[in-house]
Order: sequence, then structure tokens, then C-alpha cells
Amino acid sequence: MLPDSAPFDPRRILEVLARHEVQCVVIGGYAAVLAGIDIVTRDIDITPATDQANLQRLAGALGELHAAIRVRPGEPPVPLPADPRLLARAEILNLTTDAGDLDITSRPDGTSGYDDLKQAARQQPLGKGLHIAIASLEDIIRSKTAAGRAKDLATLPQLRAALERRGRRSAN
Amino acid sequence: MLSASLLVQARRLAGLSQRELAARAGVAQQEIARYERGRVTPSLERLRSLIAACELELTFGLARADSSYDHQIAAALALAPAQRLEQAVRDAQPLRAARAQATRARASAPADVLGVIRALVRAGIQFVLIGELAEVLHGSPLVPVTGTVTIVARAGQRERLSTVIAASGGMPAATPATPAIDAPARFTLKALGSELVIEPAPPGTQGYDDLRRDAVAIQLGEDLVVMVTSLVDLVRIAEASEDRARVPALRRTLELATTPPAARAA
Repeated sequence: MLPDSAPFDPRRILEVLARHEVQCVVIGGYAAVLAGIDIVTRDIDITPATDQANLQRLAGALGELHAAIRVRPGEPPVPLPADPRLLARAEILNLTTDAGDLDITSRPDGTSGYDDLKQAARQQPLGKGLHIAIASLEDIIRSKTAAGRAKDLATLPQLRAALERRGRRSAN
Repeated sequence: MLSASLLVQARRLAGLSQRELAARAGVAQQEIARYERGRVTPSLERLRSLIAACELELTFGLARADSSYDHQIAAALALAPAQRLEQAVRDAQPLRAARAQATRARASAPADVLGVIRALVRAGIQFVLIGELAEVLHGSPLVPVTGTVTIVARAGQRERLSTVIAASGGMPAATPATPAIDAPARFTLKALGSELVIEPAPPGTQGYDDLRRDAVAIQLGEDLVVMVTSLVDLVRIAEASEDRARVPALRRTLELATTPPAARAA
């Protein structure tokens, strides 16, 4: 997010990804906030399927969002070539788009990527016909535990509490 | 400045004055003052012994460097505090809407947090702002997704607070519901789409007088100035809270906010 950046509009990012039929799972803070967690920053994290056809569609979506690579604070972002081969090579891409920051991680810590996360992901309706695949709470916890950064570990109690709440609701 | 803020946090968590800490540690009060002002940086051993005199332990270890917050903190620090709040409230709205959709709650209207603050200021309530809005005003990257205004009010304002709450369509949002400032109380302010939380003494603090001492006056509008708890004290509250989820973001914000901009990028 730069001082003159456009408003953070995660819905637009998700709509563009859906329109381009990008297969991906939403993870990270955005997924956590939907589960009731209050620790969230202005970005959205996704893990895409890494087959050639999907990466081609992802490149198209990123082009529409005018995605560029975030570098060091205060430095202008570097334009992202619309090249699926680059997307295939990069394990992590921290991007800025005209709808906010988008982080693409092909293998989040503690997981083996899209196919792994897809198994337990749920389809989350977000209104007006938009559905997205959201990583399960268990997988978010697994990934944050494996990442092991202070900020990941600090949110684990809230995530575990959310998991327990959901378990109690299911039991009732 | 990291040593300075750690020492201030430790001393205040222990409820000690500089003079009392100096007596306990067997050093001159001026030495403590110099460390806390950042004029002199204590050695690690010295800092550890001063923190031990507060009956706290300075723990440390090696962890992977994490600069993932830096981009957003740097962007926030480049703005004036009022702009930080404006952007953060704006950016919180799509998250609140998505959460409402996911939980099948009623779509949440934008929280008029400025309206709540204005109502409190206009009523002449003496308070300091804490919580997610105070954090944002200091440059925190965490989005104020709850739309809650959290304050610590000076004692003896029960009637005036009750009037403001009633005028804002207030109703208790949790039990025990008492428009008092001697127990935590939470109110839904229907007219402003927001919640007001009144905390008598946040964790790790002694309440209003303690936080007011280092609070900073921040202009939010032409005729709206609010007292905001200092970032050091916000870290202190987060550290002492049962849920420490906000600590990493606030610590990093404090580190970057006390680093000159040129050194930040490096």
C-alpha cells in the first residue's frame, strides 16, 4: 500500500481471479478474518494450482489488476511480466495491484500447495454470485504453526478458539 | 530507542517511578532518565539488570527475520495520523462486509468511529484513546476490523458518559451492562454503527492518569483533537493482555516509528 494507493478492495481481486477462472485457495489473514479473527492487514494471500493452464489464466488476471512486484518500502514496485513461466518459478510473489496487495504462495509453510489445501477448503459465498475457496481453519493453523514467525504464532490462540467455537456449534 | 521503550514498558508494568527503579537498581535516577530518553543506550547486561529490578525478565533468542509488516507500516508512517485513520477505516469496510457475509450476519454499515470520538470530545469527556484506532493512528498495519472505539476515561464522568451513550442510540452490548467507568463496559451505538468500549484500567496499566501522562494530542479534523495513548503504552497493554496477538505488529511499528525514514528502508 502506497500513500496514494487505491482503496483496498479484496472483493475486486477475488472477482477478477474468479472471472479468469483461476483455481486457487485463499489463505492467510483474509481467510482468518472470515473465521472471526481480528488480526488482519491490507493484503490477500492465495495459493494457486500450478498447472500451466491455470498459471496462464492467473497471468491474465494479474494483468487486469495491473500487478507489480513489491520491493523495499519506499521504492516503486517492479512491473510483473505477464508470463506464466515466471509464475511457475516463483514460490512467493508479493504483489501490489490496483485493488491492494496480493501475495501468491505456491507452497505455504507446512503444506504442499494447492492440491493439499484444496482437500479441506470450503466454498465460501461472498454475495452477488461470487464464491471463493477458503483454506480450512485447521490448514491455516497448520501453516502458521509451521511458518513459526512471531506474528503467526501470536494468532494461534485466536485461531484455535475459533476452531473450538465452530466445533461447539457443530455439536449443537 | 528499542532499549528505551523496553525500559519504559518494564518500569510502568511494575508501577515504579524512575526514582523508585533507580533506588532498587542502585543507580542514579538521572541514569534511568537518560536511558528512557534514548540519549544513552544501555548495554544488554545493564538493560537486563534494570528490567530484573522491575521483577521482570528480558527474554531473547534468535528467530528468522520478518519484515512482512514493514511495507504497510512504512506507507502508514508516510501519512499524517488523520489520513492513517481515514484509510484504515475505509479499508476495514470490505473486510467487515465479507465477514458479515461469511457469518450470515446482517451486513455491517460503515462504523462512524469519528462520530463517536466527536460526540465524546464535544461532551467534554476526558479520555485517552486505546485499542485498534489508537494503534492505527500510530502507524500499525492492523486493519481496525471491529469498528470499536475503546477509551480509558478519567474517573467521575459517569453522568456525562451516560448522556453521550444515550444520545448515540446506545445500548449495552455485553453483560454486565453498566454505564460506569469503574468496570469494563461495552455499548453498541446504534446511531453511529459503532461500539464504544470503556476500559477502566487496561492490562498492565493503572488507568487514565497512567496513560494520560504520555498520551499525544492528535488532530483528526478542523475542530477535533483527541488524546491518544502513546505507542509505547499501547505495546505495554498488548504485552500484558491475555491475548498477545497484536504484540508483533505493534512492536514492529514501534521499531520503525522510532527509526529515521532513511534508515528504515535499509
